[in-house]
Amino acid sequence: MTPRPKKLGIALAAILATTALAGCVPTAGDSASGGGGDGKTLDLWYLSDNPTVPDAVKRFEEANPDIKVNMTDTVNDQYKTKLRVGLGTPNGPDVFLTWGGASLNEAAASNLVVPVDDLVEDKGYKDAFSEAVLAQGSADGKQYALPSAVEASMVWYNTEIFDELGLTPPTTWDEFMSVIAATKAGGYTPIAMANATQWPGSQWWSELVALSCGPDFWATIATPDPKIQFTDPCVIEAHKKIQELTAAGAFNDGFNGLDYDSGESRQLFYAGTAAMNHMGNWTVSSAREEAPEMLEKMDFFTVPAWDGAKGTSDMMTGGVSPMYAISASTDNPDAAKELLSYLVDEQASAEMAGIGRVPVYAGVGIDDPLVQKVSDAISNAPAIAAWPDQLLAPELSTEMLVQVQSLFGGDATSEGAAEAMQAVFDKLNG
Amino acid sequence: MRVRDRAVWAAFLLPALAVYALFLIYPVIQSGVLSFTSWAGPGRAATVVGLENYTELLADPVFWRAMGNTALLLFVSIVIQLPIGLGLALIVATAARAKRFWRAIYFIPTLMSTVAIAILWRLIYSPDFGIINGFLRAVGLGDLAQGWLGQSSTALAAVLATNIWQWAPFYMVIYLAALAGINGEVYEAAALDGATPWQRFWYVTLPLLKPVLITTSILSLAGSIKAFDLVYIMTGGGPSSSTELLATYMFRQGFDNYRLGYASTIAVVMFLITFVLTVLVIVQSNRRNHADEMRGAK
Repeated sequence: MTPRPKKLGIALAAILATTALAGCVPTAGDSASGGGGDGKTLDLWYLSDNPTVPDAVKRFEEANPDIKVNMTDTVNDQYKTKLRVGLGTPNGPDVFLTWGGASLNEAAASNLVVPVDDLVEDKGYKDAFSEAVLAQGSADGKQYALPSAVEASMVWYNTEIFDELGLTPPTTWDEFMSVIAATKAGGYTPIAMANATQWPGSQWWSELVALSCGPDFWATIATPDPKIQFTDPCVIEAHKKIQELTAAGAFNDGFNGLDYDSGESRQLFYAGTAAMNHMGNWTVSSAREEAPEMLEKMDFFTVPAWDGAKGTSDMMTGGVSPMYAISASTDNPDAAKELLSYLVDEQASAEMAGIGRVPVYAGVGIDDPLVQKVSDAISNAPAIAAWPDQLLAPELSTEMLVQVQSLFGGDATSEGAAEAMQAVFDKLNG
Repeated sequence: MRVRDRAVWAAFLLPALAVYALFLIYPVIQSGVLSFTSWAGPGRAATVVGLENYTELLADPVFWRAMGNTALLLFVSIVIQLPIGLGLALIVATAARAKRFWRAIYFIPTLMSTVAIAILWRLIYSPDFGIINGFLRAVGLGDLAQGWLGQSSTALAAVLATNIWQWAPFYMVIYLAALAGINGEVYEAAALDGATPWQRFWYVTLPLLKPVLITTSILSLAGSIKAFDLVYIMTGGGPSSSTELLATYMFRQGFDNYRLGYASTIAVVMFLITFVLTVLVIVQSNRRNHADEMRGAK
């Protein structure tokens, strides 16, 4: 009976291969230096869509020839996972990008990041950045992350299509719905959307909830005792607005299966098949790289409020981002702080403005009128809601993302989605 | 002499055993231990919570949905994918000419990396630029064109179809090798006895392929339960958890929600399911073998 052990072997190998969770921690970067380096290298992790980072690193390396920086750039969703797993391990970064919010607070509470208050003092950052901006990178009264730009989401539109159809940017919800109807009747997809990764939908949700409930919702929802609960009628009203949009056929077919990171919504907007694209102001820098001709024919408006909404149309959703912070496991905290300062200094901020981002460094000018318009809209906004997937605790954020995707896909009711989010909130705060 | 033999044995076994223990057995035990804790990731303290993760899991609707989807994948793999693999093998084995050419053509999907396949099929299913909707519109069935991966009603079927496309050729190659190992004389004998082609397949080929059918079933079974990469890249388990599998849900709990203890609980459940099913298949096949031998002895 020789087959027996052989079969058992195959079976065992097959079984064991199913439970490799504990062993599947991704390794980062190509060098073994990381937090446990030889004193001459720093690992920097950042998001792929930012060409100013290599320039800042080059300036740093020229000024500090004995230190080498290993840059690792990653796209959005993968970055979040990679950072969470890598931070605090020997393979993790020394300096890394953060959005602040729940993840930075958690990292600070777990002593995984180094305070940089001394850097703020030395470099005079209190004069360079406003108090509100610095507050986004602090936790428990200490500064952990420094900002290089501010971002917000809005509705981008193709001015050629609007001109062709004789449309003007809407200022009320009813006008917005007629713009959607008119672009659809004109043979266009009204609004481009790629929501497989779920966060693009969450930006809609955040804005609609902010409009519906007013600034109080976002100001207190991350606390254990929020003024407005997820099951409040105003949240359900916001959910109904999502249903109103999908019922009007506002989005391209199959948007819940399309991937933002590979450009599946931008493509529709650039190609002129979609009249509008609801996305962050980085749409300007994306267009600059991917479809420069688009810059001549795009403009934006903010999602307008409706009668009975507690918020106003000029409110926005966004955050101070990118910010950069330093891992507590770094062997070279001083060098890391020096590198951090190059990532957020006046020159880096000017370069951010150059690629179409909105800098927060005092006195940095913006040449591009479109970027200036974004900057003005953000500074004039009476309230800015945080990116919801960054502000909320991870489990609540995941539930919110799934429920909002379900709302867009017609798989959840406005009440059901609200109750599901409330249930996770209660569980986490119960 | 015997003692020395054993020492030599051990010396040769040791390196492989060490690797096996470090990379397979140790993680399994670690996952088991983690499943009784609440752990938020490297650098954070793990707290022991006893059976809490298990009781939560049993009441978790998304887990049951993932379980149902995984069961469907398992069912489809064994009932549709394996027969397609066998069918391809029979077609290629009986091809009049260019056998190698057909084998190479059919085998291509399995040679491609899963990431490439997932992206390729995302494009095929793409609502605006995809070949499926393009074809439907071209033949006047534009009403049937839809966002295949973007709605919970079609996403799971779309992903399952891709999975079959990817893996059926893998089983084809295994079956081809097994078919080549069958002595041609048995077919001649069957033909002399007046067996039709169908009878030759049913009464000669299939019984002789039985050991391979069992092996491929086990491979398919384990593959289905640990299936992850294709679904993760094509849909990420969405929309609305409609394509969530046990492995993608484990990943989501572990690396989106940072609940590595809870994720380990899912891993342990996956381990147990595979273990029980595999043991059942082996015991069943051994019993049959035994019965066959008894019959043969008569």
